Amino acid sequence: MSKILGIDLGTTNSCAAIIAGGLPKVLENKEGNRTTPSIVAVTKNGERLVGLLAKRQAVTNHENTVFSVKRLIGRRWEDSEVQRDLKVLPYKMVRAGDGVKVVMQGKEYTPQEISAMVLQKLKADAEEKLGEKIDEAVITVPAYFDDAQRQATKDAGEIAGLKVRRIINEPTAAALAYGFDKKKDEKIAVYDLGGGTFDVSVLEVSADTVEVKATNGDTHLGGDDFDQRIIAWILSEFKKDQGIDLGKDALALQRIKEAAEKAKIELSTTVETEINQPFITSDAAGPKHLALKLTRAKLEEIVGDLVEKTLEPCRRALADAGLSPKDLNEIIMVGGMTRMPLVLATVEKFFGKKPNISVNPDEVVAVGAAVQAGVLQGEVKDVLLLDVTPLSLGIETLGGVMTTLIARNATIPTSKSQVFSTAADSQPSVEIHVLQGERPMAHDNKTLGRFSLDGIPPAPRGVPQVEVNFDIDANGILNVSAKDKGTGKEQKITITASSGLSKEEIDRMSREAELHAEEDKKKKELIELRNNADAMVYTTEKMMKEYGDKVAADDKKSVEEKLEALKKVKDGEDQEAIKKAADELTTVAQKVGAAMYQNQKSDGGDQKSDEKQTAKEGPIEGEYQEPGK
Amino acid sequence: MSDDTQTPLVLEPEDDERVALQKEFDEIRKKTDEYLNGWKRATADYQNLQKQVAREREEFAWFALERILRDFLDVADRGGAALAQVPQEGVNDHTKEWIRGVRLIFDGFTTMLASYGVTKIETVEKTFDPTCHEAVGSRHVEGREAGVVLDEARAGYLLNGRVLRVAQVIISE
Repeated sequence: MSKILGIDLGTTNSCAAIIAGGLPKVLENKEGNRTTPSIVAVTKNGERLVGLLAKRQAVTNHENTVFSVKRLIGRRWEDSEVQRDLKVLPYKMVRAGDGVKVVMQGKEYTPQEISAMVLQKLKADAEEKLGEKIDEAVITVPAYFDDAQRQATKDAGEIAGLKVRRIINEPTAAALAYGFDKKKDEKIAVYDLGGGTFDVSVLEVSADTVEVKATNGDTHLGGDDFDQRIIAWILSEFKKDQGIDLGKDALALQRIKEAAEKAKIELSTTVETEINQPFITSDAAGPKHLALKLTRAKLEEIVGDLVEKTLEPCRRALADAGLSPKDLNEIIMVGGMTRMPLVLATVEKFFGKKPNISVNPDEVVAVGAAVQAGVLQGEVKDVLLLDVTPLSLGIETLGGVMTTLIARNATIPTSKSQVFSTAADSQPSVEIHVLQGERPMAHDNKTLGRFSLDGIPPAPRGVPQVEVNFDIDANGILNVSAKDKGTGKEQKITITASSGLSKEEIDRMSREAELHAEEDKKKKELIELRNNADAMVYTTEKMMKEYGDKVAADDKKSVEEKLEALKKVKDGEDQEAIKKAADELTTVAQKVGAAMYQNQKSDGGDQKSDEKQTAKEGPIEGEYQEPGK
Repeated sequence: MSDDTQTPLVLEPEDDERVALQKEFDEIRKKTDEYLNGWKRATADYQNLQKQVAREREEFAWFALERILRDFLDVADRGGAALAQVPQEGVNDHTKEWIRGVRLIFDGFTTMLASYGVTKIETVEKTFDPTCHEAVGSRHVEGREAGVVLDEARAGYLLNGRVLRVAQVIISE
């Protein structure tokens, strides 16, 4: 069963997506980009270029590079839009009967044929990426497209070798991407501010369809206009500062254009950015540098009226739909420009609610087309629906900390093992305290069960190996076992799902975990510091006991001093003090250790018994058990 | 229907029971086949996912490196621009040494980029190639065929053979 491609055939850029593994996935094109410029060109050699390659030679071949053909598709020669574009677009257009044709290198093409070339590239790149043939597609069009325009778009698909299963409206696709088509009786506004056009639509979701109640917009307002404003500002600032008009310098202008777009994007996430182009030009007096600071506030001042311009179409669309802003349930943002904080704030203020922008606004229409394609493809058979475990599961370890074995949202059935050890010398048993929850401290979480594993042979702390295994079956039943790898002795416990938590409790615990995240983090850090300090004290004391007589007197003294200092602070609350004391002890202890090895080398002979000791030293890092109580 | 000479060791089940058991057996067999196939499919999906993750991880590593190196190219541009406009007059020895030092820094920088597999895209005198060139201007040169790169406005680079940043060029009309 071949996949159906969901395609957003945009005025400036196009995007393709499919359903993979039940989820929509945007397909990168051959150049590795997620969107493809809707541009086609024919070079003097007759070579046809599509997409980014066509864009790269547009400046030097503008008569034979066709872009924004969406403005012409399905239109008649007399349409005002066509007449306006005649004056603005740099490539040749001719009348063909009632319609329009464009001319590249002396040959005429219908807008459908041009769009078909873009679709062909999207198809070919998708087939290469997926490794399978694609014959069908869902293509999106603006909500205001009439029958002729829709049919022409469908024709473009056919020419490209795609059976167009459906033509859907762009705002509807956006709603599908969010799953809002399931929200019966709700009213949705889609605010689409793209590269060259602005569209606003009001949708109403009924039982089985999404209806477009009204549309409005401005066909010549988009991100490019915002860029132009910034460029103009840069040029005027430079002229003020250096007296040179960079607008006449084609290469400098190119630099500035890129810098302007980059700055615009950066200011969506920072409040200030630098436009830094050293050696942008030079004159008799020497090199000239462009170095400007652009703040978000200044940017908003420069483009503010453009954003305001989008509100009148919104008002008109609402009026046509017979609704007021408060009647709307959801607002959806489409188009890269909607990432701008000023746009988001303006939209929120106008509609009185927060707009949805979680689905990438450059891709949301293609994603929606893919969702529609998925519906047409039909349900995938033999899918097994699996549950997830809602909260993390683990055990209590040294210091009252919870050590997670299975993290929350893990798909079940699943199992996980980890090896733990003892906290004290000759510890005869370990207690397994099974916990459920997200808090780092054991006592803040829910106890699911407890059991002990005893009969652990006497050994120094950190030596025994106890393997703890958590196993959840498909029914959510948890089996916890603990096995002493040395003796083979094992204990286990079974916890049924019912001894877990209800949905309300789960939500509450997740929320509490977030609330207390900071203080919990500090508590856990303190415990870990203390555990490390304890381990240090233990190993240092052991080392001194065994080799004390081989250590120089004042070294021995300083170690003992630092040891005492650490012992004093480690059970307190002062993290800084503990860290400092531990570091100081490490330094002197290492010095002693190093000296010992020096001695070993020079002594040579009687070190055999010492060598046997070094093998088993060092507790297992971090994983300890509370001694059985 | 037992033969008088033989006593059956096992009582045959009644026909009805046998049919029912056979039916149950068939259904169970069908189910187990389904489960086995499902299991195989899931295992295959998982292995395919592992392979995909490995591929994506490699892609991502390249992608991350690409982003960083691309930003570094801005520095390379400016270093190039600065060195192209080194003042020649009124320069004392102190300044001359300073300029030399800056040149050394920049050379070290380009060497470092090369060690990562960054190579320069050839431009001047080459045929315009939109896969690695972007035309930002053109001019007419008498007797020159069209589509040949005349000047380089901004250098372009490859990273291990893949285009890292296209070169911006002026071509002949």
